[in-house]
Amino acid sequence: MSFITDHILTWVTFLPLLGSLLLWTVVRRDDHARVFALAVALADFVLSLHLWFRYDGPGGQDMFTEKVAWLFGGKINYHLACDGISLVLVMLTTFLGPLVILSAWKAVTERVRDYMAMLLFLQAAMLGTFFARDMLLFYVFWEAMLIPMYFIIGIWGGQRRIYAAVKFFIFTMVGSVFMLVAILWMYFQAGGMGLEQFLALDLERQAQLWLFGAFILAFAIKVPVFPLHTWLPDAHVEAPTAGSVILAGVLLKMGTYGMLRFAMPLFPAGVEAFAPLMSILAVIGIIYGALVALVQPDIKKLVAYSSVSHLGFVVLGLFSLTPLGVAGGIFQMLAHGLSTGALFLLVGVIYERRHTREISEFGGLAHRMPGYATVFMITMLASVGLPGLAGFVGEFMILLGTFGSTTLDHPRLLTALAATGVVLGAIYMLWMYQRMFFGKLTNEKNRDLRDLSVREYAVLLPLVVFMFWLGVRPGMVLDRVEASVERVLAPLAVPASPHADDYPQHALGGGTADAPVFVVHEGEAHR
Amino acid sequence: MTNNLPVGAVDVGVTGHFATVLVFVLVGFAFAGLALGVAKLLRPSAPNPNKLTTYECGELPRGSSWVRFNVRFYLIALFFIVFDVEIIFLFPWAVVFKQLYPVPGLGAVVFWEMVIFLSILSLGLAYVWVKGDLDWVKKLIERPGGTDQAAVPADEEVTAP
Amino acid sequence: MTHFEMPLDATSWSVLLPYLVIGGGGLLVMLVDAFVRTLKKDHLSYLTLCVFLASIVVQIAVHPGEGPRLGGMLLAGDWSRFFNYLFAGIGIMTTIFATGIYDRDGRYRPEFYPLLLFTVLGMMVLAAANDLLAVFLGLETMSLATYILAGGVRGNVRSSEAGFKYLVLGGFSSAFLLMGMALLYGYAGDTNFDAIARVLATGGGATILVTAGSALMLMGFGFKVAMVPFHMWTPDVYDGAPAYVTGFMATAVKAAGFAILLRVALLLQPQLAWAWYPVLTVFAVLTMSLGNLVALVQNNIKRMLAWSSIAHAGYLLLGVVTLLSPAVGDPARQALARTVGESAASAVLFYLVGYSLMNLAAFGVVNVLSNRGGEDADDINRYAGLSRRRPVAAATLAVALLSLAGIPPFVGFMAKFYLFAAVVKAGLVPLAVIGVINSLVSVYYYLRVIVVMYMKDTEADSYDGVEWVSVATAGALAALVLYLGIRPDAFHAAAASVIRQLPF
Repeated sequence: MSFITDHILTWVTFLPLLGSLLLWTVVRRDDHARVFALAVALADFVLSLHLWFRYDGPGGQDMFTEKVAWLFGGKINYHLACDGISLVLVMLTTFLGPLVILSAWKAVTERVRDYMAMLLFLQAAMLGTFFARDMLLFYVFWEAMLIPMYFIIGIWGGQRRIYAAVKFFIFTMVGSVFMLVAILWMYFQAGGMGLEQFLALDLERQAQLWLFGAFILAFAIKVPVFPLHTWLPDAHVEAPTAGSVILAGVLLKMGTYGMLRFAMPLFPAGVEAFAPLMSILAVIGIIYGALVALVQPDIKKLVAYSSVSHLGFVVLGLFSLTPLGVAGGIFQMLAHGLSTGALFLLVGVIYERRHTREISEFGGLAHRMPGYATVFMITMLASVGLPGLAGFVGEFMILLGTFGSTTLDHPRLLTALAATGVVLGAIYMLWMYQRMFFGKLTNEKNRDLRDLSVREYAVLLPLVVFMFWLGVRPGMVLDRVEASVERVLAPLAVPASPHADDYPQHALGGGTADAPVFVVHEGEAHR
Repeated sequence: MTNNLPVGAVDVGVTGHFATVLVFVLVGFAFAGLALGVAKLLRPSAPNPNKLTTYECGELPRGSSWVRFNVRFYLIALFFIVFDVEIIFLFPWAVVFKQLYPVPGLGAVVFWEMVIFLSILSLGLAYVWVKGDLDWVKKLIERPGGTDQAAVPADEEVTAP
Repeated sequence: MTHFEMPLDATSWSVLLPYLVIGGGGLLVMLVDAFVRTLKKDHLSYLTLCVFLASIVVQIAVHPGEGPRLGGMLLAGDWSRFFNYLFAGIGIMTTIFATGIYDRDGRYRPEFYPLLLFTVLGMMVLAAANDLLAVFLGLETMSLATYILAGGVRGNVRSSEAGFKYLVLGGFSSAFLLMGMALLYGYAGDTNFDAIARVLATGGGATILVTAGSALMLMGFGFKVAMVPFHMWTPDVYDGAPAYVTGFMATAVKAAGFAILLRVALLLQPQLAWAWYPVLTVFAVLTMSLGNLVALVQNNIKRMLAWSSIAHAGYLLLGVVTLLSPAVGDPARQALARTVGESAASAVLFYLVGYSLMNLAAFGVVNVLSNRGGEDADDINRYAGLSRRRPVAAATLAVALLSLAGIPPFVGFMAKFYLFAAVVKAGLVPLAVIGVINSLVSVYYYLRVIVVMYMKDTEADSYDGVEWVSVATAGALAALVLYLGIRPDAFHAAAASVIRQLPF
């Protein structure tokens, strides 16, 4: 096994790619393609479990490093590594992988082989993005990710799929090409493309502002931060279920991951200058997303706009520049990946049966589909942020972190506004749930709906389990993440919050106290 | 080249070379102008409409001169130019050949160079000959290899015999 | 006239050998066509392929050393060898694509093969030229044969128009070029590059001659590489010529043009960088911007690729601009001349190869379809549903187009990476930004074809039949596009070592 464990990151990243190549070349029949793709995705998940159990970086440092000279005799390397932040996001990716393949079992009937191959290709590119520690390698994976997603939306999407696919592609490209120029410029300053070489640079303030702008544009489009979000509803609504799940579950996190990994540590002066703007945009995104979600007649659009709102929390947490807020942001990425992924799957389930997503078409579904209603309820509550479920921990930590932020201008006002987003979130979700599931079964077409099948349970239950698990034991994730967060944000020299002591740490987690988290946070607070 | 001046020559520079050309041009114009001018002064002047026709002693031209000539004429003209140019190259070669021939090792090269040049041109001639482009009335060649010459579009300048 | 240089010795023959193989091969193919009566259609193409392969073998086997040879006419060494391989490779691909078409449409055009070989001969001479006479000789050999290739479909009005247009405009550009060379000769008193470089290095004299001369030469070369504002012929000629000829012109002719443009830029750099640098900067920006913007609205795939090839010429010109940039302005930057020049020139070489691969892959597919579909065969909308009927052809075209758009992990991205890296290295960040904005614009029209192929449904009048040799060849090229996109380093290092042999 050592030939696998010695190069574990390469295996985890490229196993899905290998699978997709085999799908294109060897596998011929559709049913074989489904099974094969599922097997590959499961194998990849098993491989990634190795990372989860073996990762023990007390200082949050990179592990499992692989570094091979790639270009210019070692100035640019094939450099993969994994730290706590990468780890949790990679686990989310490999965990969702088999589930989305399973979810597309019946929904996709045309070009199944290509579909499965594209999903695996996409997974490989995403994993590479999380592992890459060389800027060019990161950029290659980052851009390569566009190709499969573009095809997934464009070929298997809904009515306006072409518009949505092209819009998705162009929007994302717009951001990233400027990042490429910024990377190139820094490359000649640093003499290499390694992230550590970039971090060692001591750049002037003016240069930092420009570079930060170039990087943040790429990441903000991907997140998406408020005025750049318009591609997201289109892409989500038109994408097939599996595409939406991956998009919401992992792809959007690329943006916040990029901010955390690259934009923030590389350009402290840029963060300092832009943090107020970013936090304001984040709050606008939270409220705007929630308000627009409120009036959506289409469930999928509602969930899409709720993503804008939830990702706003993540950005707010990151730019609060408090350890609590940042860790909360990462946790929220994970929680959002689970809950929104599950919501899209649930929307897919009902769409497969009724071929409509209009909320007004439904009503009283709880009578016909009790299992479905239950799973939907749990997921919806997790998304809303009910204590005890995954969504609560992240949002709460973010709000706390923002409140205690010393770098933002009006932290308390921002927190208050963001908190209204939580309330609005509860309103649109609960209202939607009420309209769909409660009351009398009015629409005749809903009379014969089947409840969830075994396969659908198999897809949804793991997600539900983890929503609970993360809700009651957030430490499982947080203690793997926080040392890495501290390490990554060290260049920012985040000032300890003067008010940190005013907000006792046991307020966290709603009675789900988890020791390792707080120990470290207290250390933070007194630094 | 600039440093390999013949013995006794003076390096007049590029401008000097062009000055020579200029003098040559001026002398040429002067000579022609002188000849024509003197003729104009000496000859009798008797204008006559017949003198202004295109062919003074031939047929009267009819219609526009902007007619389309058959493409064959151009082909013949092209062949003529090919041979013409060939001769132009032969002259300077012939001039120096006598000097170069005795130089050991060089004579053969100089000789075979021209042979190669001429044979490449003859290959071209052979090619157009075999392809039937020298025939005034072009035939469609039937190739035993099963060709599709018949598929050549009809609007081509091809006349079957 | 007492001194005679020995024009041909053993080394000279070994320098000449690849040229003789291609040229002699051209004559041989011509004669076989004329005299061998029992010829099957494919035989000429096999013979042509053999000639190209023989020239490659000769290149590998015979190493005549480096430096000017044949009385300073040709430059031997890795530079010319690099381009000879490139031209032979493009020639092989073009032969394969052309042959596939002849078999199917029944329009057998045997004169295509010798002409192709003569074109390649001209390109080889042009790329290796170390003397203005050799430049002109190579350029005209190449151009004359290309004029006929472009007008090669007899009886097709658009092809005839293409050939005629190219001939007339090409004649003009040759005249400009010749005048420029004459002026340069007037300044330097010699046609040899090395001698000209010596004269330029000492400076002084009638600089008006060399300035005007170089401007005229730039026009001549600009025409060949389709630089705005000398690009007018490109869309019509690329559209009218048969697709395999278009592919050949867009890759080989462009590569030859850039080979000589680089040489001349390097030659004139000491005295003329101040003039060429601003002018070429403007032209480069205009070329890529206009190319990309007009490509956006094309409905014909060949026209689209024509405009896109103009845009790519703009990126390549950016490389030439970068090459010249250290010689102007701040003297401190002149210390960078060598490193910046090397990275810019090697980036241009890499780009030329990458561009040739992806463009040939694209034209290989377009060529097959172009032939099958009748009048509006090149309309992009006719490609609807191609991915279902011909998955391999569609995937090949998709890879080629994504690569042209500069998206990793394909070679187009790496080519742009090396190029823009050189631009940024020279400190020309605004130009790099203009470059990436342009490649952003280009994404849209490349994606459009993919949208049609993959996301629209088949229409009733679809192409049918498969010419699998062409498609397989194009597929192999696409695989190479992917491979070089992932492992470009060895190849780029080779390009850089080629550049190091050039005089800076």
